[in-house]
Amino acid sequence: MIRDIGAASALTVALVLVEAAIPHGGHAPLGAFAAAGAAGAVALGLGAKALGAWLQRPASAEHDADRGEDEP
Amino acid sequence: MTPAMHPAWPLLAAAVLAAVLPAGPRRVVAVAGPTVALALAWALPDGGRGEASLLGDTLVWSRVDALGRMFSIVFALIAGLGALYAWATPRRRLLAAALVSAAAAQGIVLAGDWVTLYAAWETLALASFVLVSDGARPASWQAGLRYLLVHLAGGALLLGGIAWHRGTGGDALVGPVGAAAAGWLVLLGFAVNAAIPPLHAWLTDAYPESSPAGSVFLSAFATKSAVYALARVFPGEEVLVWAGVAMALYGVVFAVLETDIRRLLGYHIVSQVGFMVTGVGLGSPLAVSGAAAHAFAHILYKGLLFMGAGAVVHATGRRRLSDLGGLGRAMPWTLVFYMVGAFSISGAPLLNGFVSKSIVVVAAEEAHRAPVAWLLTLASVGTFLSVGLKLPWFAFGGPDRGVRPAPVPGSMLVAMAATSVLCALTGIVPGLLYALLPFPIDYAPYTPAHVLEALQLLAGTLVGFLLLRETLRSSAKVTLDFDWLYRALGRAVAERLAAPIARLADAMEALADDLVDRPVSLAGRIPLPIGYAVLIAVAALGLTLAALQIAS
Repeated sequence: MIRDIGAASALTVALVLVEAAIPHGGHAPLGAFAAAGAAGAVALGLGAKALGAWLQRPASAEHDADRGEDEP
Repeated sequence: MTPAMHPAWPLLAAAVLAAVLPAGPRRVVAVAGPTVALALAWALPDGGRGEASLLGDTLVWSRVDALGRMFSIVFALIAGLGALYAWATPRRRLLAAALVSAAAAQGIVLAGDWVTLYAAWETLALASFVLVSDGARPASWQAGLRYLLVHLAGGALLLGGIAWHRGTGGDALVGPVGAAAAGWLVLLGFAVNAAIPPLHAWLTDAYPESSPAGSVFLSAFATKSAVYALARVFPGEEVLVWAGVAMALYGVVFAVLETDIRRLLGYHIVSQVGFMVTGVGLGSPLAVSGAAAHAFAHILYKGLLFMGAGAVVHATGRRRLSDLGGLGRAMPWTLVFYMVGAFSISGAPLLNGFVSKSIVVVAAEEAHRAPVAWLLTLASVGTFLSVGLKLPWFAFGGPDRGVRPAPVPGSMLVAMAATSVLCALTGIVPGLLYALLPFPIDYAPYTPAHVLEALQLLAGTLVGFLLLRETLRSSAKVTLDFDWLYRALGRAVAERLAAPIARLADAMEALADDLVDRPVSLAGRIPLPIGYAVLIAVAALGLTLAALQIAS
């Protein structure tokens, strides 16, 4: 897992370095979209999980029937 | 324009043939019908118009412009690809309903007047009901009935709005209605089909219950014909800007939670249609063209995603991420084609979503609506997080859960390959897409800044996903949405009304018995049983209508 995160981070940093190295005509601050992607993913993931604590139920015959499903 | 030039006809003819022919020829006509429809849609003359007379009124059954032609082309295209995907499962009911729904969608996007649009709208609802209930599970029938109930209610709102609009002197041709009461009713009717929350629950309830091929057809027609209708009738309507943004975010949040792979994709229909609704609401030529371009791209890549997810369901019989894992080795081509769709919907360069999604975002920036552009970008992050990372990671990657999938039929793979090629072609050569748009646009997606921004956004999202990977791992859970609320309310209302309705039914039955048993006196002199009175009334009505028709 650490290796995966390291590889993905290296890729992201490389893209930011490319952005810094070439004239690209963008208006956003350097690396803004990379940061937005990482922060947005964490915020959405954690936010959805917090919502899930309220809205999710264990799959069971009762809840699935309530949902109109016929399998646990 | 003659009726024979309407792309709906070959689809309807193919539907009739599919209902009567044996499996072999049925497969062929199911592909041939959309192929002919595609040729007709491509050849539709700009400004072409077809009219007919009905009870003295003029029906404009066809009115061609660039917006309608673009939707007509992509509807025919996905109908053909869906039929190819269904080659291995050519059930009579599936193919007939799919072809009728494709014909109805053609009727909607080419309808010139409100009556034609409404008739096609309701036909699409009925055909889609059959597609949903065609799924093999008992829940499919129940979901189909709920689908029908919701869409008939939406259709009633639309009909009420049309009647109000026409009754107050509104134009018979489909066009802007305004913000009066009639306009709100029409907007609500469209909002049901566009799955704008909280009117969206039918979508995520119904689509996963259909068969794998059925969900491909379903994903294309209902919501996108509503987007067409919104673009035709409500361009520049401010409420749609924020409704669209809310859809874009609502869909991705619930998709992150969802464990059923096709329900997860259903939530992403809500999210992606949000981009289109926002574009329509912004109303500028660039924004409306962006909405149309995104609808075109979305029909292709969402069809591809449903094909990939359907292949998993077909091969494994499982649908929850918590029951899947390690399928990548056994289903490599399905994974490859699914990822083409996933990168398309996530806005990766060289694929059509990169082009179409950014047109809407740029249109928001040009309209000085920076918060709208930011929120849509955040929704893009959520899209890649759930469709591009969570679903494939836990279904195709991850630990082997002992699932031994059956081989995916070659026809499914061919359909996925063809759809992948179209996603790439319209992404690499955006001019192909631009040529079909309602307004000419001069937007260059492949600038260094835009490509770098898109790649950084995807890479950053990957980092965020890897950090949260264990948190996002799916367990066997059910997520309650507005459908739970509607069911609870429905049950409560039914329980309250059961006794009064039973009493009313008894009273009506007693009254009916009384009327049938007792002769009815006409003008106090002629004894006349009630049945004859009804027959005479119907005959008189028919004669009156015939006389009116002759007089006109």
